[in-house]
Amino acid sequence: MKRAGVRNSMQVLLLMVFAAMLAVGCAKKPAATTATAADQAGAQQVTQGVEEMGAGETGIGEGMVGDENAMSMPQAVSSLERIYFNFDRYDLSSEAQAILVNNANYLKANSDQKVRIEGYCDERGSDEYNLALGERRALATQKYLESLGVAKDRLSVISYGEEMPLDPAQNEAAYAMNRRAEFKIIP
Amino acid sequence: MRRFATLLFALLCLPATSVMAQIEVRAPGQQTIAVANTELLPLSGFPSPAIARELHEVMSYDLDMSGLFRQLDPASFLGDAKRLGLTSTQVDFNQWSLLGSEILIKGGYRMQGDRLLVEFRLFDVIHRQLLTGRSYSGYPGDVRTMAHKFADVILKSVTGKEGPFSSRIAYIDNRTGHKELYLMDTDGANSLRLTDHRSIVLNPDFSPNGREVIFTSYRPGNPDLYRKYLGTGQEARLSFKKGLNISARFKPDGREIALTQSESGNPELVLLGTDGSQRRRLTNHWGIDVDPSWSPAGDKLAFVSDRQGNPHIFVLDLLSGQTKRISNNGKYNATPAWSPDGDRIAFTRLEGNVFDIYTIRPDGTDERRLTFGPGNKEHPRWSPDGRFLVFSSDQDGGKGIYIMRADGTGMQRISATGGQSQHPAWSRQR
Amino acid sequence: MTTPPFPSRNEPRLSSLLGISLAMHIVVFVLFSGVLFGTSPVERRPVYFVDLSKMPVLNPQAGRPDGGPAPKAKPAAKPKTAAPTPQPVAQPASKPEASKPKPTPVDNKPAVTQPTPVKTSSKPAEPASKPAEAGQSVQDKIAAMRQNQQRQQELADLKSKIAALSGDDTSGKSYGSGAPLGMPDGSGDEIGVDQQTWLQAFYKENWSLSKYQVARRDLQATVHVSYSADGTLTNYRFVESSGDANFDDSLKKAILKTKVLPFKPGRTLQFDVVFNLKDLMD
Repeated sequence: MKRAGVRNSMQVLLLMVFAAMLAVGCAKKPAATTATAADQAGAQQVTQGVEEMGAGETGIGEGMVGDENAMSMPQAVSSLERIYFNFDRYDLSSEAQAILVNNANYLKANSDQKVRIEGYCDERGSDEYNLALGERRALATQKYLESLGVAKDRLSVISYGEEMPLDPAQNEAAYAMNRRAEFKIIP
Repeated sequence: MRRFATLLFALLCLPATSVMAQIEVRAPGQQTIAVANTELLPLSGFPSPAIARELHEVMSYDLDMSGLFRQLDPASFLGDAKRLGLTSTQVDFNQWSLLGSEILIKGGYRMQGDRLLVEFRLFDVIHRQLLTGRSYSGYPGDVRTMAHKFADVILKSVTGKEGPFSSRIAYIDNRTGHKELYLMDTDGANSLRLTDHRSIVLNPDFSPNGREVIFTSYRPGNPDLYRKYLGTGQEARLSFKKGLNISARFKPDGREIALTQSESGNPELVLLGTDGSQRRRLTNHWGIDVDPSWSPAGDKLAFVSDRQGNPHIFVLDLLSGQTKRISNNGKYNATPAWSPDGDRIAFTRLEGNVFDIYTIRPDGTDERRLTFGPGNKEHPRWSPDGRFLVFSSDQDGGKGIYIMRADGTGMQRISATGGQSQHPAWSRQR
Repeated sequence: MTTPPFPSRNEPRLSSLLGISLAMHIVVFVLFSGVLFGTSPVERRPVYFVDLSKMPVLNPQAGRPDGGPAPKAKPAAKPKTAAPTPQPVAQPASKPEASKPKPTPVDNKPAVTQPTPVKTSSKPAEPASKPAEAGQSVQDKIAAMRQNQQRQQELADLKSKIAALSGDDTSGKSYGSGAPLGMPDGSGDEIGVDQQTWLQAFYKENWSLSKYQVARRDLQATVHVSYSADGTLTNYRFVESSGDANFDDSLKKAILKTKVLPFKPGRTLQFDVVFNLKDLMD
C-alpha cells in the first residue's frame, strides 16, 4: 500500500515537473496565437450581433461577446489539458486528477489568466439530462481546481451537453473522447 | 285490455315468426371505415388539376395517417365522382354503396382573382346524408392547409374528436451549419426557419395559444431561455440565470413556465412567470432534475431525476409537494411527455445503447413499449388530440422527425433529408 | 483460504433454494396453463365459414357450412379442410395466408372467421415493425403485398356483393365433390347454412368500426331487429346501448346498410343481435 502511495506521489511530482517545463517552454507562443484567433472570432461575432440588431430584434443586444468563440470548434490551450469522464459520471478519475494538478500549476504560474471550464457529454442520453451532466462535470472540475488553490473568481463554467462532440462517430472510442471537460482561456 | 290484445296478436303471429336465439357478433368485420376520397372538381372557370391533385394528396395522406380509414381505389369510382353534385339529393348514393363506400368526400374549387375558394363535403353513404361541409378561402399557397383543416373536421365527424393535421411542429435543424429553430406542417411540408442565432438553439415548446415558442439558445454565451412571437418574429430573453436555463415547458393554462435552472449550482425545476419573473423553486435535491412535462390539469409535473442513482421518471404533485418515481424498469429513462388526455406519459428508455419510446400510466403501472427495430427514437411529444406522437430518430441515417400513432403503428418520417432534425414540439390546434 | 467453510454452510440453503425455484416454476406454469382459471371465461363458440352469397335455409342438412365447392385447392388451403369441424375462434395471425390460395374470388368472400381486408390492412404495421431485425425493405415489401391483397379482396367483395344483389341463389349447384353442403350440426334435408349462422356472418360483414373510434374495448350493445316475411327490415331498436356514441352509431349503420335481405325468410324474423368487441380484446 505504502509503496503504491509513494509511486503515486512520484508520478504526480513527475507530472508537475513536466507541467512546469511545458509552462515555461511552449505555453507562451501557442497561447498567444490562439488568443489572436479568438479575437478574430470575437470580432466576427460583433458584426453579426450588429446585423441581427439591425434586423429588428429587441431585448437581446447585450453581449459577453468574448464567449462567442466557444461556438467555433473548441481549441484547448495546450497547457491546459482536457480531462475525460466515465458514462453518466462526473467524478474525477485519478488520471483526471493528475491532469488537473498539472493544470492548476499552470494556472498558478499564469495568475493573470481567467479560464472557462466547458463540460461535454457523449451523444448517448437525453439532451437535457446531458446538459445538466456536462455542467456537473465542469463544476466538479472547477471545485477540484479550487481545492488545489486556484482562485474561484478565475474559473467559470458552461455546459454544452452533447452538442459539440470532438469525434462525431458512434462508437465507444468516440464516446470516451467526447465525455470531457475542456479549459478555455478567456481573453 | 291493450296488453291482452298484444298478447293475442303475439300468439297469432307466433307460428309465422321464427324465434331465434340471440346472435352475437364479437368483432366488426370491417375494422376500417371505407372512404371514397374523390378529387375536387372546378366549381366554375378553368379546371386546375394541380390544385385538385394537391388537395387530394394531402387529404389522402392524412386519412391514411389516422389509421381510421380504408380508401377505395379511385379507379373503381363510377360516374358520380365526376359530377359536381354537392347536396345529398344530388349525390348518387347507390353508386357509392355499391362500391362498399361508407363515407364520401366530395367538393369543388374556384379561383376568384388571386384567391382560391375550396368547398369540401363529407357524406354518410349509409344514411345518405351530408355529415358536414366547409368552405375555405385563401391563396393558392394555402391549399395544403385547407385540406388539412378538412381532414381535421372529418376526424371530428367520425370520432367526435378533432384531428391535429392543421397544427404545426416546431423542431431544431442544423442544415445552415448551426442548430436553429424551424416550423413545419404535420406532414413535413412548408418548413420554415425561425431563428438566426448562429449558435445552438434547443428544445422548443409552444405556448398553449400557439402564438409563441420558447427555446434555449447559447447565443449570449450561456444556455438562456428565449421566447419568440410567431406573428411578429420578435424575440425576448426570458430567463438568463447563471448556468442552465433549459427544457422549458408552458403550463397548459399558459400562465407559467416550468424549466430547469442551475443557478444554485445544482439543476432544479423552477417556476417562471411568462414575463420571466422567478415564481418559485419546485425541487430541492442534490440530484439532476430536468425535462418537466405538465399534466393537462397543470397540477403535476413529470420530470427526469437521477436522485435515486440512474435517471428515472418522477411525478411531482405541485399541491402536496410529494414526488413519486413512476419508471421502475430499465436503467436510463428520460424525456417524459404527458398525454393531452392525461392518461399516459410517453418517455424514452436507453437500453443496449438505443433509445426506444414507451408509455406508462401516471401512477407507474401498465408500461408499454411502442417502438422497436434499429435506431434511436427520442424526444416524444404528443399531438394536441393525443392520437399521435412526434419524435426524432436516426433509423434512416441522419436524425429526422417522425410521427406515429399513439399505439406505435404507422411510423412515418416527415422531415426532409439533408439536415439533422431533432427536438420536435407539436402545437395545439389552430 | 476463506472459501472452504462456505460450501458446507451453503449446501442446504442451495437445495432449499432450488426447491423454492422449482415450486415457483410449477406455480407459474400452472398459472399460465390456465388450469386454475379455466381458459374460457368467454365461452368458445363454434365459428363457421359462411359464404354470404349462398342463401340460408330453414332446415340445413349435415355437412360443410361454407357452401363452397370442394377444394380442388392445394392442401395448403387449411380453412377448408378444417371447416367441417367447429373451429375455435380464429387466430388472426395465421389467416391472411390461408385466405389466398382459394380457387375463386367468390369463395374468397369473407366468411365468419376470415380476417377481413381490414385486418390485413390495419394490423400489419404492428407485427411488421416488431421484430428488431425487420429491415425497411422487407416492411415495404410486406406493405406492398398487403396492399395488393387488399385490393384483390375489395374486388372480390364487390363481385360477391353484386352477385348477392342480383339474387342468383346458388343453393347447391352441383359442385365438384360429392360432399354434402349444410351445417356441421345440421339434421335436415336442405343444402346450406341455417339462418342464424348466416345472419351472424351478415352483420359482422356489414359492421364497420375502427379501434381508433372507440376509447375502450369492453363495449357491448344489443339491438332488436325485425324483418318481414319478404326479408325487409321493418324495425330495429336498442335493447341495451353501449354508452359510446360512435360504437352505437356503427351498429345502426351495420343494420341499415342492407335493409332488404337477399333472401325471403318466408316468415317474419325477430331477434336480438349482441355486438361487442370480445374478439378484439387483448
